[in-house]
Amino acid sequence: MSESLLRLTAANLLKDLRLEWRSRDVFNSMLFFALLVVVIFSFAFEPTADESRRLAGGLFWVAFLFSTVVALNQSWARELRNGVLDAYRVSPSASEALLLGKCLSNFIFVGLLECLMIPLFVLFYNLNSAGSLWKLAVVLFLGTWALVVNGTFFAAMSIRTRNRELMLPLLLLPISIPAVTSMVAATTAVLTGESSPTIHIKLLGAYCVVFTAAGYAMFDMVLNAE
Amino acid sequence: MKPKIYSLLAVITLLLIAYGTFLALGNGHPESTVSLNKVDASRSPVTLEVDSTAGFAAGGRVVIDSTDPDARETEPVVAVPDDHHITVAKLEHTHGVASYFSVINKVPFSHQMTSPAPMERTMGDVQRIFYYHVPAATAAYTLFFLNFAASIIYLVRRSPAADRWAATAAEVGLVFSTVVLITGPIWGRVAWNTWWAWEPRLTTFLILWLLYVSYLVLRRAAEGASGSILAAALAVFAFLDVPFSYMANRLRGHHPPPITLEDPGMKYALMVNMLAFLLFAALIAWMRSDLERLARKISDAHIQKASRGAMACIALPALFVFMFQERQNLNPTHFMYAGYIAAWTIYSLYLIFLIAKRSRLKKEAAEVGI
Repeated sequence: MSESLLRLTAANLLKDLRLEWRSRDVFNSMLFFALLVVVIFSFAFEPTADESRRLAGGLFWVAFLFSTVVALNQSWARELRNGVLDAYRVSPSASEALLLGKCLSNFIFVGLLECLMIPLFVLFYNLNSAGSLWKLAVVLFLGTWALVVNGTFFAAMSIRTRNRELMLPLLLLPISIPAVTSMVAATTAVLTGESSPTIHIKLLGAYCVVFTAAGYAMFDMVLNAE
Repeated sequence: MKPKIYSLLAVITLLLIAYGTFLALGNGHPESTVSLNKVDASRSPVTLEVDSTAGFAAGGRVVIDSTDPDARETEPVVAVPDDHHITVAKLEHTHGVASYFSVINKVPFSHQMTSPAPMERTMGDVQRIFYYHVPAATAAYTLFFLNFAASIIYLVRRSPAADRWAATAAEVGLVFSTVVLITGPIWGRVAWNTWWAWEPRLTTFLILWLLYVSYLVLRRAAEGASGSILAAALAVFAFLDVPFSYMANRLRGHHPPPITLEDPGMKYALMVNMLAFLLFAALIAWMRSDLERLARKISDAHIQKASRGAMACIALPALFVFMFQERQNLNPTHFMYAGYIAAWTIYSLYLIFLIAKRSRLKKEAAEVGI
């Protein structure tokens, strides 16, 4: 069973990656959106090097929260268009694999986006970190997963409602507030080097574990809700 | 049978609310005074020189307050010789070494039941918002927990009653938490000198409020059985979110200490109001749940009117003009009344909404023939 779950997840992941590689519409729109957010914030605040260390954590995660919402709506709308969800519902395969595959593929897209945006952030905001970089990498990893796992679940939920695309931010943002608070606090703690980010990272880790488990347990119900 | 219990419960609730409001609002016994002179501990009767003895009588008990909580004591009053002296049987501690100390009339329980809660010394009348604020918060938390429990039952059993109760609890809980979120800042403006502080409990409550607004939005956007399942899943997520939001915010900012009530008169007024408002919440939830059942019996296809928001559009800017003003010497009594009026405005608006909804549904039920 677990082996077949792994195989199914891998199949879903590969399918998403191949689709994205051929069309690239999600990634391109996400990239451009994040770029716009970064540029507009930089116009709006014009921070100095010292201020930007404090601001950057918040700006960075707000930019990614919004661009994740753009990407997630697209990722399920595509499945709906081609009738994949109905096909999946009648097939005997475990529906959790669909969620895990989608989470992983979205994680890869958003992760790639972050790798591309970080140099721009450093450039626009004159950033130089006072803390260690590997801690920043841990925060990035956990924070992205926290955004993506909840986002994928709630995107699956929102496409089943009447006003599809509009619903996702309304559901996702309130649930994500604690995660965003922890991410921003941890990032700011690393960048300014004034306090220890350990406790925020632990909290973020717990958030990831709890909400991954909750999403995994309830996805079948949401997919088959009639 | 059922309407009888219902109206009986309604009468009891209204009486309790009236009694609780009388206890909370009334101009409580001002039987506290200060003494300026130092007095030593003694086994024999001691006479204290105080500002005024109005309300004090021989045979009662007084609380002799001190900045040091260990030195606080309660002693019987032996005599009240004149307008500026009280004689107590003994003193365990020395008082008034550094500054003046307070002497408070300790009211016996029978007297507590008829006399309103005393005035809080530092905050004044505005502290009385507390008697509406805390019961509303307790009711909101209870209803949100009921929403979670009903959602779990719905996910396991798929019973329509559980779903109806989940929807009801979320909506009524939102009304009570709105009262909490409005009375809180009115109190905070006087007590903390700011409308809003990013304090863990406030922030957690605000996030909770946002979560349940999104829950109701989801309920409206997705109808039928699939909507119920989605809403139940969201309710579980919302419940899991609460400890994280509390932790995340506790690590972030300053943390004013929670309020503790020491005076028995205050505790009694709070208990009465707590009972009154929990009953009130149960009553409204019951009424709302009956309406929900009627509404589902008729049909799910209702287009809601959007005009309700228009009033807020006019009222809110006016409120902000008032809130932006930098003012000193705020009158706590005015803020107390503002808190009570705000709470009742929300409650009555919701009740009017329920009554209007009921008459509309009754009419539709008659048309359909249920």
